[in-house]
Amino acid sequence: MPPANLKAFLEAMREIEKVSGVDIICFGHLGDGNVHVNILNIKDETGITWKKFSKKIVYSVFDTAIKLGGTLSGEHGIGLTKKKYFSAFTDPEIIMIHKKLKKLFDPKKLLNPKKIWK
Amino acid sequence: MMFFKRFLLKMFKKKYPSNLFLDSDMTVSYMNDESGKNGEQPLGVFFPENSEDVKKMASFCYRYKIPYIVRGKGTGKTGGAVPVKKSLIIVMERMNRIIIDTKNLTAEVEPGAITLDIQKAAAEENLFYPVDPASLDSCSIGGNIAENAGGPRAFKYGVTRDFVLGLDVVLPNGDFIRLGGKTRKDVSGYNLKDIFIGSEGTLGTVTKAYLKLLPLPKEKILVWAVFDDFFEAVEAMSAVYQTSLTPSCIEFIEGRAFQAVEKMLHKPIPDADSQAHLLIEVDGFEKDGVLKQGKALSEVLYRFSPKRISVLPYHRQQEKIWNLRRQISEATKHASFDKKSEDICVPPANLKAFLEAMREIEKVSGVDIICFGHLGDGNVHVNILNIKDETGITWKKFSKKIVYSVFDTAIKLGGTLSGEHGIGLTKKKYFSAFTDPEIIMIHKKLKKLFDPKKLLNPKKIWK
Repeated sequence: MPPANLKAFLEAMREIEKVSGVDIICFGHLGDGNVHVNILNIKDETGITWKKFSKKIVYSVFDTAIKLGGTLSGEHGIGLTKKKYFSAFTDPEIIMIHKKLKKLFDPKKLLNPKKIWK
Repeated sequence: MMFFKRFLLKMFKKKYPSNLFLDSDMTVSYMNDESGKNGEQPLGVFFPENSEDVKKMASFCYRYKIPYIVRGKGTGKTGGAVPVKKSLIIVMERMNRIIIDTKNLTAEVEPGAITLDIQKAAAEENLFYPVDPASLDSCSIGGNIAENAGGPRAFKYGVTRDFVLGLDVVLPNGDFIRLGGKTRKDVSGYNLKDIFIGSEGTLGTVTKAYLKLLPLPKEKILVWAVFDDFFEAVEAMSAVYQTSLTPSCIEFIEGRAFQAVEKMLHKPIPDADSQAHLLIEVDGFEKDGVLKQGKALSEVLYRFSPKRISVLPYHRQQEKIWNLRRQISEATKHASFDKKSEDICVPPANLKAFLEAMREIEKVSGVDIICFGHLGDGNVHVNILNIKDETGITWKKFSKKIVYSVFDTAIKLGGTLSGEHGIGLTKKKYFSAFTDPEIIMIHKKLKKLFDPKKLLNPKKIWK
């Protein structure tokens, strides 16, 4: 996110920790506003609650970043693991351009299929 | 058909009485730009005040298939803003707001903002927007983005593209999208922002840009080296490459270019009769540091038997020289019956071979070819001048062949047709001649993807 919004973002992470009970450890390239957010399951050995709620927590993390003028990824890309969030948080018009560009270069959909968007 | 379009524009004017002008007195002054090429008289001239106006105009043009050209200050060198078809001209000069964000080190600017005004607004906050095209006091950031403009300081800092973090764009169908923003990094999806930068206004209309700023280096020195041997100057530049020195720019000026400026201004320039000049600027945050670099630079340059080296520590002295440098383009025009101005770029290691080839073309053809520009970047402004042929008959016959040879030389040396001026109208036939057909096909498909009705800046870049 824009560096000036880092404090607000990190405060929101603390809040999510408090409400959800999971551990969220942050580190990374503060100067660029690029934070590696590690959401950890330390307490729930069975993983039952974790499985149920972790996706919601990830969603909240992205939602916070976007609302603070940020982006889903500073350097790791979208790939497979973030594609459903990409589709949820990206302007439909921009996703449409992605699909058209993909078609322009790769009309037979051969290269690295089913990545980036859902 | 044209009658119908004029009627629709009259209707549109009712909504925008003080923004849209349809009278001939007004439209006639938007037929050309700095390239000197004349196009069609526009159907009208529209001055939007915000992105909402741009959206409404784009939707209107999309609905009724009216071509339009978005224009900044018309300082482009390749005819990018020249209307080839009967079009509407969208002039961005009323959208010129500049907001400096000191907490994010960014500037939020509208496309009509003058580049120098952005630099000044940033400097008031001790911040720096480094991109410095020669026309910086009159060109607008929208035009800089459309052409991906550079300048002398591109050597250390990069070109316009390197400073654009985000763009607000109105697509030809009237949809609004925001690409990037104030974030310094972004790898979420395809990098669409960079498709629009340098697209010469053919894909969409930029209504706002988010620029990255740097801390302002307040200390500067200028090393001015004069050479009696043209190629020694080029060798000296190569040698600077091999050091760990970090000049902000390495500019090259052929003696004849300064002679043209002398003639135009009717005042002498020291050592204008020499073969070549190098202007090397070092910037930084401490006087001692830049002076030390200046000294080390001079030591490197002395190995190439310069006629003299002057280290200029004061801003006023430096600006005097830079002002002379910025007059060259006008002066070579002034000194000739006609000129062709190119701005090829080659890998720096091939500069010597390129300049030697220019000398050879001069010898064979008999025309004058004066070179100057951003030597450190391998980006040479090649001014092909008709000085001798007053009737212009031979010139007309051969000048295109000479331009072709210049481009051919650049391409064979691993270069490109344009380092910073773009292709626009004046170079499109060369673009089509020298570009891989597969790449041209991608250009056409991209154009169709964004602008299926072919409304934005028609008939530019390729033939």
